Amino acid sequence: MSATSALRRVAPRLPWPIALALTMAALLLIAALAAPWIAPFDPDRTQLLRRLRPPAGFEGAHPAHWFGTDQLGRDLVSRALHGLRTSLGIALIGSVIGCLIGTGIGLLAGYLRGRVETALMVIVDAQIALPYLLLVLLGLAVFGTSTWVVIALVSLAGWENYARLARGQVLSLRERPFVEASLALGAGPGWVLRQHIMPHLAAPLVVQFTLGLPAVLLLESSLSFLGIGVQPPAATLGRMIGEGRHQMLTAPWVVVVPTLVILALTLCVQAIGDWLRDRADPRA
Amino acid sequence: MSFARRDLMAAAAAGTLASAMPMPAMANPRELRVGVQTHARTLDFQAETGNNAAQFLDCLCDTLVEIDTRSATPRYMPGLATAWHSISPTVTEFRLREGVRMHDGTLMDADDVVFSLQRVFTPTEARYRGNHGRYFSNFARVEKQDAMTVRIVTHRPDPLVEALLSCRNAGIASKEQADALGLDRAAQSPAGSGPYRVGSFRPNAELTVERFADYWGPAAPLDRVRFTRVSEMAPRVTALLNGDVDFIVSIPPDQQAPIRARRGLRLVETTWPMFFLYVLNMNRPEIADPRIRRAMNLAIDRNALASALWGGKAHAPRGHYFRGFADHDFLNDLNLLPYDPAEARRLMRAAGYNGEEIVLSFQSAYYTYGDLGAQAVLDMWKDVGFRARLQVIEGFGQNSSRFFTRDWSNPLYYPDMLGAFDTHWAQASWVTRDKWFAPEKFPAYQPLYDAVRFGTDPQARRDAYRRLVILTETEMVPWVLLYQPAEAYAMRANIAWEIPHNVRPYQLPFRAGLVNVS
Amino acid sequence: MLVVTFAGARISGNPFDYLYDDGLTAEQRAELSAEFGLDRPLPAQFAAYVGALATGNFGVSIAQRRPVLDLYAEALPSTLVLAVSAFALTLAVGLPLGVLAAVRRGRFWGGVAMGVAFLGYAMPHFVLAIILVLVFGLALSWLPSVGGDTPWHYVLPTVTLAAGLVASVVRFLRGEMLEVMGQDHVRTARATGLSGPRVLWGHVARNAALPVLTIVGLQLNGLINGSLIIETVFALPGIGQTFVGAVQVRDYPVLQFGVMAYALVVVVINLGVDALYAVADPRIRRGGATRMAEA
Repeated sequence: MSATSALRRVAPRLPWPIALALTMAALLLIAALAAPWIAPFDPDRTQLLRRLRPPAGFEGAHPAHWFGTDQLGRDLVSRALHGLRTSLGIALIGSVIGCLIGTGIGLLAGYLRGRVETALMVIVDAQIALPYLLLVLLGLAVFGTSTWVVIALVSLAGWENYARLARGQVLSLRERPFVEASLALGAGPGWVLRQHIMPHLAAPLVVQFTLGLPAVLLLESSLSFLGIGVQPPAATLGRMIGEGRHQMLTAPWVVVVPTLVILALTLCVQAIGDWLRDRADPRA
Repeated sequence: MSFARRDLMAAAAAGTLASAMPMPAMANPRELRVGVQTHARTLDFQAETGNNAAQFLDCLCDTLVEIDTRSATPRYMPGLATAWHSISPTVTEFRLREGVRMHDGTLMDADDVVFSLQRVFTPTEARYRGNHGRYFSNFARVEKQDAMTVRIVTHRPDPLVEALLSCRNAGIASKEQADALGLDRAAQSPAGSGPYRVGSFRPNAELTVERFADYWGPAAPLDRVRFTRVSEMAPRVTALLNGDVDFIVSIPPDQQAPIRARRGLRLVETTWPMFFLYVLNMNRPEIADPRIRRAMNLAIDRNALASALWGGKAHAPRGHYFRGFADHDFLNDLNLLPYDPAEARRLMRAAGYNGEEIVLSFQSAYYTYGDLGAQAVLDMWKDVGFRARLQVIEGFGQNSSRFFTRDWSNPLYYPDMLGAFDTHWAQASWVTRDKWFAPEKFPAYQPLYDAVRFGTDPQARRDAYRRLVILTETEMVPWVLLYQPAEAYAMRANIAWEIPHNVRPYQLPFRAGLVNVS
Repeated sequence: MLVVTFAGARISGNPFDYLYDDGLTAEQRAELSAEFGLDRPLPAQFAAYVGALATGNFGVSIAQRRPVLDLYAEALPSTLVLAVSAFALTLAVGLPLGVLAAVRRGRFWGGVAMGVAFLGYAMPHFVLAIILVLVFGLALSWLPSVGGDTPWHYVLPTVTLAAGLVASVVRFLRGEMLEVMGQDHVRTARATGLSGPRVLWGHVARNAALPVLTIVGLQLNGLINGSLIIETVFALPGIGQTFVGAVQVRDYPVLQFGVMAYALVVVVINLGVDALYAVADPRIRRGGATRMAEA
């Protein structure tokens, strides 16, 4: 709470739910970055004699494992921290790649117009008409299952949104007087892009990024449900939930712990994203 | 869909007002609703050899020779054959039962038997391959003598003719139906002669079987049995607790508490005569040295696996023999699989193990707790100094030579001391064909195998099997046996049903005298 | 699209590697390949495939050895029921929440509306599904948990699927409403003394309702991906399971038909939405697709 109040002093106009969300997101990010140093146990180390211990405070809890242990006796605090690190890493890297590719294609389409634009937008539409799950399953089948393949597939999940966004912005901006004036004065496309397009594009891209991130986080858990994705025993939030779901009747904490982390993360990012959008949108 | 769209909208909108609604009507007591974990793609008696279809086939088909599923030791009884006798050491003649009506309305005769058995003895189509290798490689052909008499010819004299012919994959189907519909359509709704016939079948999803009114034997005790796939564990258990189904399969020990706590339900448990194991690829250079493979075995604390994952209800194997199976009792003094990390390390050093990476490949969701077992084994291997990692595989069909391991089960397919070994490790099995298992490098192997497989003197067979178990486990090391898994079925307490004896694991018998709903 | 699917499926593996656990000999493999025409060169296979399509022949499933159409026809009803009811529920819940979120923006109830919407979205489908089964099926015994025998069986799956979709409706509608509320004619209406609710319903909601149509197209992917997992948990044998089962064993004909049908549905729905736009508002001709990106 002291962090929240500190933040409020710095940014007095910040609504308290947003302040809370920002604080929470920052804490989660720090936890993810610091996971290898703050996790009390090796996240992958199985201890068969300590399996399915409940969290501290419940009957049968083991004092060393505050959040309890999973089906193989692994410490849930450590696994949640490392899972957060891996899942967030995959989601962030994948989203950044998707954002870069999508934005690039969108800018290109908006700038070049004509046949190139049509061709690029056909690809965008084709992506929407193709069931994404198929792409994922086939991608994993062809390239095998590794963390980088998962990241690549994650980046494929949202690039078309960025492409449309970027193209739409370029199309509307190039009709604006200041851009037309710059072009008339002989400014090159690179200069126009840097000086005029990017500043206007940055805000909607950031918004789209924050809104797309939760979807990507959940996607990783869907892959784990289907038994594909990052290879065991590595901890990801999705894999923890996917593996733990069988125990939900008898050992719900195995699922509850990673689900709460995902929930906290997605809610914070969502709230921040919506807030950013409201602020970036002068009309509202 | 029998309800109007308007009702549906109302139902959707009323989700939160559901408290007032009645529970779905209880099923007819003569109908049994079964929630199974895995389902089948087809119901082809001859082609479906897996654990999944084994659940259903007993309802649908009969075999020439039947086995008593209640007696402690195997006892063979007349089935679709009323009598049989040897004509010569390799020829047995079977007299067929008169007046047996098949599900398509035709009468069973020698043509049906020749058609059905010939498919498994000499599979002419690629898709019937597995069966042949696993069971019937010593069977040459079946010959029609007259309309109600057939002769079965084996390559070598075979003391296991009755045992093998009582397996469901030797089930008899109607030739007339297959001729009329073609094998593909017939496989969706095969006409056997069992006490139940196929009512409706949706592959991988739901099978309904109905009492066959013209059954030649004692009438089926149930009007209908509906097998629905509920692959998720928590919903399956909930479905039983909730009364949506009457009977469920595959409840691991750590999931049983809610069922035990509920009155009106009961659990039936067993430890299968079946190994969950990893096949080791002897030809993979990194593990080609048998000492390495032996070290991989000695590194594993099987008791920890059995007690932790299976609540102590799984058995830790001590060699390729089943504890609790009468035919293997004479081996109980053998412990070939101690947990001995020190010896494992010594063997690795002796074999010059130098950090070569071992990849444990397995299928993620095929065997219950297979994914947990693999992660535990990985740590045990790392503990003795192996560099190892896991790899989840979708299917092992392609390029199998590149894998180090694959997960497999070795169920006791027929009640004989060789019943789990022969069907999996014989010449015709994939492990030999794909050269994972290379018995030719071990001259002692083949004579021992032949002595058990074709011998008739019980003591000589036992001696040979003992030596075979020791040879395979300590010198050949083609596998890592993990455990004999536990299995539990749960059902409403008014259902009298027991796990059958003498038949392969997973078979679900609902014949007369085997299930009773009060 | 046909080429991509055709080639993609074949690059990803061979059905016989996945259908037969114990593998096959070379002769068996050749025999099976010949049976399904997979031994011919790829261009010839493709030509045969397109030729058969032209005559309305969608092929035979390699795994189940029966017509592809049969597989999908069996699975369609349960998927259709689930999709339509989930969509109806999504709108029934999402529209009021979206209006609430916009009208009470920055205030308590607006926050609550957004919170409720996101809670369902932020949780993996299968976790929510299992929680619903355990609460309403097991603990309360109000609803059946698995299967699709009666309308009641569809309540929990519908709620699960809708929970994941409500959030985007709420967010979309809120954005649209805020935009409309800032427009001149609404300000004018307010200035001329029209009451709050009349402005809201007469001007704002009507103008914002149109873009909501777009959501139909947007949701389709979520609907399909979500229904796969939901079908598995609730043991509803629908299209999702058929499709994923086909992918898992590389059942080319089933897979190809699935992709084709999916693309067709997406195109038809998007065209339909565009047509509705054109009818409802002649000023907009092709707004649907670009608007989606801003959602």
